[in-house]
Amino acid sequence: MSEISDEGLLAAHAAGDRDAFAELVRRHRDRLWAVAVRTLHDREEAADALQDALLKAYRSAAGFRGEAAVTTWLHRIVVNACLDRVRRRQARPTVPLPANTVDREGRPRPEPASPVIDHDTHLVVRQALAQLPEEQRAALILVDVQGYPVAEVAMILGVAEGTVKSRCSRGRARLAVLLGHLRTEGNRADNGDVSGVSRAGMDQAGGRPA
Amino acid sequence: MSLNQPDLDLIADYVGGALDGTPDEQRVGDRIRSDAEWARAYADLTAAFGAVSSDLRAFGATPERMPDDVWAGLEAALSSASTAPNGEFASGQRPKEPPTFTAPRDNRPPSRHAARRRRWATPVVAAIAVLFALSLTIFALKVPTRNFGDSGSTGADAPAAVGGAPVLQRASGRDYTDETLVLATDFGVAYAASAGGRAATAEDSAKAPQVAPSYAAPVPPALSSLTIPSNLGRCLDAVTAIMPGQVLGVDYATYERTPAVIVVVRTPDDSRWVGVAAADCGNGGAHLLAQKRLD
Repeated sequence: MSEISDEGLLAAHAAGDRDAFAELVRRHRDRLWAVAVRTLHDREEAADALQDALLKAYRSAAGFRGEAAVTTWLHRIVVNACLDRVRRRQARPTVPLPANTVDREGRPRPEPASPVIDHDTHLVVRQALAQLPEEQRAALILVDVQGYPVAEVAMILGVAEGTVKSRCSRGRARLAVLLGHLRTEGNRADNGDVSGVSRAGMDQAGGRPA
Repeated sequence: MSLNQPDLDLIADYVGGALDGTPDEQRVGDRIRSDAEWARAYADLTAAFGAVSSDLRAFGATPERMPDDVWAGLEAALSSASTAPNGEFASGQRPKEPPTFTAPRDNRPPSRHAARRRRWATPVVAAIAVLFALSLTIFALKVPTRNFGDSGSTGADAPAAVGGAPVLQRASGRDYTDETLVLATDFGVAYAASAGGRAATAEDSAKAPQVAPSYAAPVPPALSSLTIPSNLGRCLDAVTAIMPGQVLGVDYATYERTPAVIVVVRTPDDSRWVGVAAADCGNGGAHLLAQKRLD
């Protein structure tokens, strides 16, 4: 079946081929898994979300109209299943942008900081991503981590491209603080709330505070 | 838009291209060019974005391969679905029965959540059984049986119905969990009462009796739009696309503290299912948070 396109496999499935859908999933399983586990940060939840999503896709395949690529359609179902689960477990606390930090003149501004040098950057990044609002997290995982084009992510998430760009941009700004790439007067002085997650991650991983 | 001090969200949008082609693009650009604080914030964010993107790319470069046991469970689930009596896609018809997730999940090692549930499931089920029996009696007495038409509904405000069957609506004020979803089935008793103390039949559906909403508690604000019959109808269409059957009733409640519409469905094989739909139910899908077969 390897020479059959994704669309062909889905059509074969809709026509009653019992192996076609499993083959389709087999082709994309690692990418779908990566999105699920990176969005949910929990192996069991990711497995449950993926199973629920793919069974839903299995049963709704006849309704696929080809407006998007099959992989986009599959990702959309998986991402929605993951976001549903994130919302269910109540989003974790988020970190606001450092809008109220001040400089010597009492005016708010951010300051650049040395980049994180860490022996386990992945752990720090994973923890920082977990602190983002789920919509920013999903957009960043799809665009910056998984490398999907903004236009495709817009279709996956069912929003405008500008919305994807905004979610990514604001998510990057928060990550910049969390990862120590952008510090403020406030958290430089006492390593306070804004950089707390980043510090915790670095402490666990044996890194040094920026 | 206030431009008195550096707005990092706005500058982030500018750096990331989210303002391209909008009036704000020019305004923010002008401010960055004319205000040293904004210029500095822009430069800092631009540099930081590069570092963040580099971190995220490195994070993404590490393969996340699906574990073998997850794939095995998934294969089993798909195999089970393909052999189910509802696999007839050739005709383009949707499944005739709701999905059954129990068997596939048994192919994976039990999750820690499942293990936790088992420890206290037995006493909870016993308590639920008592509550359920009590609630059946109380609810059967409380639910009004007047016609929707009596409340002045117009055609445009017609009560939500699937296949012409009545849909009981209420706001119980409950916060359901997976273990207490069974309580939602007292709709079945209410409907049976409205249909003459017996189970619903096709003849009942043809008569399409309507039962007014029974709001013992406030409808959660997030669900208010779903009390509009046309919106509820779209939601129930989406739910029954996943759980085909007759909708017996809906409860505007919460599920694990999340506002949710609890939808009770009787399937063609006379089993009862409960679907838990999120507030955006009907907007591009059912957005089910949970679903459960009760018998």
